[in-house]
Amino acid sequence: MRKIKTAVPLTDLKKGSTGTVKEINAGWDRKRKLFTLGIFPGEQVTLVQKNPVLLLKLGYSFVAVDHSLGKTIKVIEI
Amino acid sequence: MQKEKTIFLVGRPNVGKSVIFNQISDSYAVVSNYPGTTVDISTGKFKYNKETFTVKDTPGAYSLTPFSEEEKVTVTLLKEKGAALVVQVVEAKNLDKMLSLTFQLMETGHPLILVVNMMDEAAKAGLVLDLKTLEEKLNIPVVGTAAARGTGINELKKVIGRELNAKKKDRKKSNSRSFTGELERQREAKKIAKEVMSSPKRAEVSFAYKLSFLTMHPLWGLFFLGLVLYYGLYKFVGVFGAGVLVDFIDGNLYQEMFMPLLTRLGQGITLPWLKQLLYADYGLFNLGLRYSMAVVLPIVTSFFLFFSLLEDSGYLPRLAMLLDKLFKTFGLNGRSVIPLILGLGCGTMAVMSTRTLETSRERFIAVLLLALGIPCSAQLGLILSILAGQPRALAVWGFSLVLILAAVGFLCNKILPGYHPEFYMEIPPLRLPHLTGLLKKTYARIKWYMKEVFPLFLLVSIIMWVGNMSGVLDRVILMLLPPLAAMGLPGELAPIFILGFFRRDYGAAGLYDLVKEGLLSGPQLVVASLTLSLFLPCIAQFIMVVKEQGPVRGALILVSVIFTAFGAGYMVNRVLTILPLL
Repeated sequence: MRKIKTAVPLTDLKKGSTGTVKEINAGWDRKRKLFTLGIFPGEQVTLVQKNPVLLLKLGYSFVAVDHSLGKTIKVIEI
Repeated sequence: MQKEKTIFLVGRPNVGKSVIFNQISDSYAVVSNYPGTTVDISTGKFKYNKETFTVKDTPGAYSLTPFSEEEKVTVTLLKEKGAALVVQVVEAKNLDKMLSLTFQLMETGHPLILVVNMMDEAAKAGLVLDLKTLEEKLNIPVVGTAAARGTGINELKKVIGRELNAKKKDRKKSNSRSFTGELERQREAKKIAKEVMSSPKRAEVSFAYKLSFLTMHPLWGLFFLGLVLYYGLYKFVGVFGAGVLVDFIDGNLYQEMFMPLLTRLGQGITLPWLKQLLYADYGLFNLGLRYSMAVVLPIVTSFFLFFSLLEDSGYLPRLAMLLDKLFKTFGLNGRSVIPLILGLGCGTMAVMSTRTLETSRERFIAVLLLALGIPCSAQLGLILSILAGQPRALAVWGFSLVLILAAVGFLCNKILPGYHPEFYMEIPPLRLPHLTGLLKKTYARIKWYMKEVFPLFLLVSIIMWVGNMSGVLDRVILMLLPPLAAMGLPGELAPIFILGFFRRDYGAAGLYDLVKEGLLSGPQLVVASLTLSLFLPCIAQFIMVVKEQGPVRGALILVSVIFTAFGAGYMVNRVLTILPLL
């Protein structure tokens, strides 16, 4: 049986893995912060580092978000 | 009437708008490798074929739907129809994320030029960009540059000139389309970027790239931070700036050569009040001019140079993410790293920079910590050189200061209502700073410092002179004697504490003189240094605190700082009489 991958919070990903952003579970205020960093649904992010904050690679740029913001980003691992 | 022709530079933060502004205009805007350096609009002149145009550098904006205050500035500007031409700057590597703003700008109907900057970095990453195809797809002029190296700037100037002079009908009509939403715009941007970008080569893994990860590593990052602080702050600013430079300028130049000259010139003065004003211990020549030019200026200059290096290399955002967790226990977050580090240079400038923090709660905490216990470079340098020979005293001083700062921050976080804003930040690549850029920026800061702070130095001398002549000073000194005695300190320190209010570093400099005369014992030295570090910020910083926080909060900060400073001095004195630490 094929395993259907469900969206998980970004904080649940393992270090080094990549996921596609499915949705952002937050109010408009937090959403806009992530938008300004280029984190949108459909975007691919690689989790480079988990501590002290989450370090993400998006294309050729790097962004850092803390865990509370990272939890709101739901991704599907690829 | 002919309307003034204005060119606007717009684009996302940290793509190099200000670098381009500095190269095409006759003005200077502060640049750094830190998103959000420009918070206001800089205006300059652009000359082309004897015609002069106005250029405006705008704060970084991600989108025309404004999110932050800084972005609102840009959007409001564009909506006023003054723009003869809009120049959008994008970063080559991240073209896909930046074209969505291009579409929005095209919709506004202003003539538009797209500048693809940092082509050199894209090449290093193994990327090839087909700008010709991009030009065809968008149907607007596209120029590739590596502005920090000056590549493509002449071409850009030519294109700007051509577009400004083009008749409306001759201009290319941009392929403007309307999109239903931001997501659709993003999708189209990605599609176009994919068509014009290719990566035939593998990216070189540069030294900077590897170093970048080292600086962000939870463990190695702290180690690296230790190196930066030790070599940058302690060795360069402390030992070199506050030690070698000050010894030379103050000792060899000012005291040995300049002062005797001034004294000889003053021999003809017979008016006693004028002699007092110029030559007394707190007079213009001994205090105002000497401390500002010979003691403080060398220290502050070396600090600003060090800080510019941190900014331009792109290290600060990495520091912000490393310290985020620590700062959160004080009710701040990683973003506060700029004001707090800047506070180690000049507290006044640092209080001004708290404006970039998100909530008023954070701004209050940051301003309080800055006023209380972040010693500015002039003060830090002097205190370090006073305590240098006595590592134990230095350790007790440093430990107490950090403990008090942490306790106050922790308490603020517990007591003050409000929520914790999240930390989010773009991490730019590490870059090797350009020397001219560093010098220009340091010079701009020194100029600010001289303009804002130098007059205050002179003013202090005059106030002390008036106080001395009128007897007010003596009365204030008498009032200070009981609290000083309670801390086990000699009465000679009273004028130093008063000086300390006018300029924190003055206080430290006065302490420096007392130590040279051998008037203080080890524990007294520690108590005095600590109380002075915690004592009121200088008058310039205090004025800035009231300006940024308002009179009520300003007064609150003032009162809590006085009580904490004297309270801490008292406690440490008690502890040191019981425990033989020194």
